[in-house]
Amino acid sequence: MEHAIELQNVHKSLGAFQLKDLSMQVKKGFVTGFVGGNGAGKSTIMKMILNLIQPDAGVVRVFGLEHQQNEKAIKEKIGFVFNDSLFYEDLTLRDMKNLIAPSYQNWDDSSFQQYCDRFALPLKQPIKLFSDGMKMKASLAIALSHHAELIIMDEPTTNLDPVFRRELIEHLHDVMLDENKTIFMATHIMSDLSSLADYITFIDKGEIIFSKDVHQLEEKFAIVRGGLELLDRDTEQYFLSIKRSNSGFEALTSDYETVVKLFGREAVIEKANLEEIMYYSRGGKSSGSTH
Amino acid sequence: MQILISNSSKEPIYQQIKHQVKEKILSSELREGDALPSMRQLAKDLHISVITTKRAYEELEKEGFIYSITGKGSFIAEQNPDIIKEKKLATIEDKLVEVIANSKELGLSLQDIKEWLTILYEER
Amino acid sequence: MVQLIKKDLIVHKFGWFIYFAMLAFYVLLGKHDSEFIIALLSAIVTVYVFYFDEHANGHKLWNALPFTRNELVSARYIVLLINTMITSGVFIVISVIIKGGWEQLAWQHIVGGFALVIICSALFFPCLYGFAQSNRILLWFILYVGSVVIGIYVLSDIASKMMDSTTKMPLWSDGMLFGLSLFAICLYLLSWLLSLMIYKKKEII
Repeated sequence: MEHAIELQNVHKSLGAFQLKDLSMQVKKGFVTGFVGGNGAGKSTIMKMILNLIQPDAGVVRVFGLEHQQNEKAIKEKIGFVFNDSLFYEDLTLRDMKNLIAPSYQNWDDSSFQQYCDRFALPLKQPIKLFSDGMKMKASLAIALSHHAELIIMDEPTTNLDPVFRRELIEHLHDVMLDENKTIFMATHIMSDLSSLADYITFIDKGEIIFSKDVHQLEEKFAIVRGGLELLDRDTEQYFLSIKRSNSGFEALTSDYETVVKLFGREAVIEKANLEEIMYYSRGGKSSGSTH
Repeated sequence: MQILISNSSKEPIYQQIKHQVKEKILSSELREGDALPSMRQLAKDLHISVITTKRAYEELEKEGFIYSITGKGSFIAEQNPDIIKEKKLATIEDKLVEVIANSKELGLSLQDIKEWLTILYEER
Repeated sequence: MVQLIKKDLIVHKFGWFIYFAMLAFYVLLGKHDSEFIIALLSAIVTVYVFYFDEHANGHKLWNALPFTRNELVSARYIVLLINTMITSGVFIVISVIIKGGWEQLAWQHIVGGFALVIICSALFFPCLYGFAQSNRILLWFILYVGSVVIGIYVLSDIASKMMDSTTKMPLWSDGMLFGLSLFAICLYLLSWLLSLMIYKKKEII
């Protein structure tokens, strides 16, 4: 089984928001970054993986299992970290751990103790006195202490300062020393992903725009800038999105080599970073925006 | 095994790893049977994604520099001395070609290069 | 599932002592009937565990842990019964200690309290599940506890009307009490099924 998570033709309406016929996979043994703007559908999918939200149609499989028959087995294998704290604020971390630990068959108390030491988490302090960073670390300590094979994280770094964020990434690198672990992490902070993610899945308005490994992204995607006279029906087909202005156009391509051959030195062609890819992917080919 | 990568280099990171491992093999710093760090350990140490080290190792394996045993790790493959020599010659050739190209750009003649080369060769 | 029941009982921590103190206070005050005390306290203890889950991200947490929704709902229905048994038990003990004997205890009142809290919970639990995670949930908490209080007065009003004015003995038979209990149990089971259905479809945001 190659995939830790598999969504097949999933439909879901939640108020004005819709997922239409969405399919995606998350490779086992790797880190997949799940990126997209606010309201793109990341959290909805994260929640479907945990059966907090159920699809109207389609299939969600985790390690080949479906929630309908194997809900508990699936959840045993998942460690989760959400950006909002799921703890009872009045309890201490030890109390909270004592509530959660018996829920998992494979709870490993010594591992939890180690993480608390490493993260410098006070066990006897009410959780309401924890900083956001500490709460996230506490969630992570719990997520990592029951031998979960899949760690899903929904915007874990949103409320954290850069130092904390780096620390988190460092810990996740440690987790990935074990080839049986899979991390699926939704974020809109691109720097979190650059050193960690193996695959990037990009979602916008409930649609998967692309899902690629980081090398493909690095090699294939580029930003092209040039004069408007370069654009015609033939050349436009090489672009995912084009932004026109009076001084020229800026476009995103996922076919670097062809575009280099096509335009040569007539246009400026630069490798695109993740943020640029996201920004331009959302633009479409309309000529609406000017700079 | 020391590997230094640069994030600002134009060369992709997996290439940087490949090149450095190759260099270490060619300079005999790494010898047959030496164990390489695991893909995942190296990724962690270098703060890069696993898929990057995976690609570097896969390509090194394809080119015959290393071999992998599932569950044990990756090791330096037996290097045929002739092949090593050939590879070293190939690198020299590459560099000379580069020198020629650069020299032509500046309009240096073959004679100029030869003289320069002779001076440098005798100095070392 | 046992873990879920245990968790609902231990989240109160020292809260239990406060409940028991309230219980003792009411018994000492001697103004209220036993069914009032038992029903009210059971309702308070139960509403508190609902509140605890609403206040924190309880629904999200417990649904993300290896539990099914059926287990989560069923545990709560069982917990209410346990809560009521605990309050009744403690009530009996305190009454015996304070009043110095069993004579004063009317088991009919205890069964009446039990039946009342079960009926009110049966009516309101499906609403609490339906409105979970919405800001209207507080209103339902209040209505739930309020219904218990009102239920008590209705019940005692009926009881006083059915009191024989000369003998001061209740007129209602054990048969009627049995009927009331049976009705309460049936309603509770129906409500249980309804809550399972409601919560199964619930989107946990």
